[in-house]
Amino acid sequence: MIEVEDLAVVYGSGASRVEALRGVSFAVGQGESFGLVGESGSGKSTVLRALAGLEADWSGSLRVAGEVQGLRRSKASRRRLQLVFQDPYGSLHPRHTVDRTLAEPLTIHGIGERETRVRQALDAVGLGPAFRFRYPHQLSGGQRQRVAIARALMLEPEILLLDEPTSALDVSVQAEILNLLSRLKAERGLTVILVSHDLAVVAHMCRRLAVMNAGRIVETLSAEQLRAGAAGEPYTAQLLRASAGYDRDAARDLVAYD
Amino acid sequence: MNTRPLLEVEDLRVSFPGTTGEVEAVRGIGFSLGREKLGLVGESGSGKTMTGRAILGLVPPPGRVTARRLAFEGRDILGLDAAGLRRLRGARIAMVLQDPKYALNPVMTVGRQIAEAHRAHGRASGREAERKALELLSAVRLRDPERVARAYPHQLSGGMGQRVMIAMMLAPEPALLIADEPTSALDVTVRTQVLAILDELVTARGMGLLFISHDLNLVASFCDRVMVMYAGRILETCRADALSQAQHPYTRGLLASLPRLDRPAETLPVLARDPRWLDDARADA
Ligand SMILES: Nc1ncnc2c1ncn2[C@@H]1O[C@H](COP(=O)(O)OP(=O)(O)OP(=O)(O)O)[C@@H](O)[C@H]1O
Ligand SMILES: Nc1ncnc2c1ncn2[C@@H]1O[C@H](COP(=O)(O)OP(=O)(O)OP(=O)(O)O)[C@@H](O)[C@H]1O
Ligand SMILES: [Mg+2]
Ligand SMILES: [Mg+2]
Repeated sequence: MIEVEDLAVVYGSGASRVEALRGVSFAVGQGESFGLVGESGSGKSTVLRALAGLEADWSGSLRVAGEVQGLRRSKASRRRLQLVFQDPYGSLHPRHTVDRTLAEPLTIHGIGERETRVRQALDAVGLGPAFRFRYPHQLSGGQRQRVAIARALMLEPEILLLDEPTSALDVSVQAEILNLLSRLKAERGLTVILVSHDLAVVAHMCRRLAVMNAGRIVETLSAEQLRAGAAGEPYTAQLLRASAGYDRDAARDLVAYD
Repeated sequence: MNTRPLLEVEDLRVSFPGTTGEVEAVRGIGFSLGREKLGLVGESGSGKTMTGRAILGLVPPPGRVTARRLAFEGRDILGLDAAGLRRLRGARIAMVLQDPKYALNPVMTVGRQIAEAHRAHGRASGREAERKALELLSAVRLRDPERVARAYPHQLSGGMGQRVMIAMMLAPEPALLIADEPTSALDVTVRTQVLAILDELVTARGMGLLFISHDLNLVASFCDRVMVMYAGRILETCRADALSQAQHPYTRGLLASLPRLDRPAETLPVLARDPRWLDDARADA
């Protein structure tokens, strides 16, 4: 469903030049959930942005549902693939009600049945009709994130890209969102790429995952390998150790890999 | 050795007047914080952020804060005027806000923001403050501190912005740091390194740390004590390393809803709230 080959992204120039991605390749099958984990700043969000057509410039090749993707996306391919942003606060317009936020993609794509679709979407993410005319500041963090997911589902995409969908949420709301995503996956056969720092969340949601560091994929693992702590690369091994919790002595031994 | 707690809180309340009645975000909590790592956990909306903001006088209007006692280093801070509070905030108490993108100035480079925070602390020359900013940026493990110093907030990844925020709050070398979800956007390796800095400041320099987080495992392994908050009250307080044996059904429910690497599950249990919990809260911690 998704094929990424030798993807490279560079920002800035001169002393401010950053090679955000230095040749990233992976593939995700139809209906599969694929995890992206790794160092902060390693390029995970950049991969999602390039796939969603939000990067101004990149090189390499991207194919979605067999279609080669250029710099600009057709309406159809934008509809097929939706991104839920890392920042649940910034991604909703502060002066738009939930209703308007959810209806907007329909207007842009000229889709009717606004009334029914908005109600169905709210229902799908477990928000009652009472939430429909609220503004973002009248919602808790978890409710805002559910609105962001509902908006991504408005166009019935085949692919959902999720950037840290639960890192701002408390653990019970996180459980609700993860259960919701599992249900949607089962019901709609969604293909998912999930970025998260929480390895347990990734193992729960994904059968396979890639570990990123400094703009590259270090290795690809199965969820079973992750659970068993079977890392092939030293960077991954260090990541797995650190995920066990805080340990003052271990902190001293951590090293930076390139 | 000074044994007086850094921070004393008694019967703290925060409320917001609303069209449909008053929202009580914090409903009478009490605790004291020494030169230690005190965790504050609890579900979304339970009042963690408002507790932290109330201590710094940062509750947004029309919010109202009252307390029987709110004292920092033995001095009442509820009676301070705006200027007194600002002096305290710039130098003695700092807060890492939950959302770094809101807290950073979008049109000023990151390096300048940190340098200015450091200079607010006093004395330092421009050159010195610049050097200090670079030092802090590499302390929070940013890979290319010089590039990051020249960058604007929107040019940074989520976790980079969070580390910049931490560096900025550490610049004035505060005696008390309130950190609201300071590591939620960091990978676990960088998280460990950033926590080690905070740990060092507490154990070696005697800083007090109020650590707000929803990451129960992290709080259990990092903090000394932990308070569990529900609906504006503190339900229970325990030693952090004993959190996994917490007794209250709410705390147990939160722990149970975590996905675990060592235990695959089809669906995750979610919290079933019990109205009786509203009365369970203890007055003091
Ligand atoms: N608009 C931009 N201008 C310049 N550099 C950028 C821009 N956006 C991202 N970068 C850089 O690209 C690199 C990768 O960023 P990205 O957001 O993909 O990281 P990430 O893996 O998602 O990190 P995190 O886990 O912290 O969110 C970083 O070094 C970042 O500073
Ligand atoms: N400006 C406001 N007007 C009315 N109610 C508010 C306002 N700001 C916050 N509240 C309410 O105060 C309560 C406590 O909010 P607070 O931000 O302290 O929660 P929290 O425990 O930090 O949650 P989270 O984990 O989601 O950050 C919530 O129920 C919230 O809806
Ligand atoms: Mg990111
Ligand atoms: Mg909060």
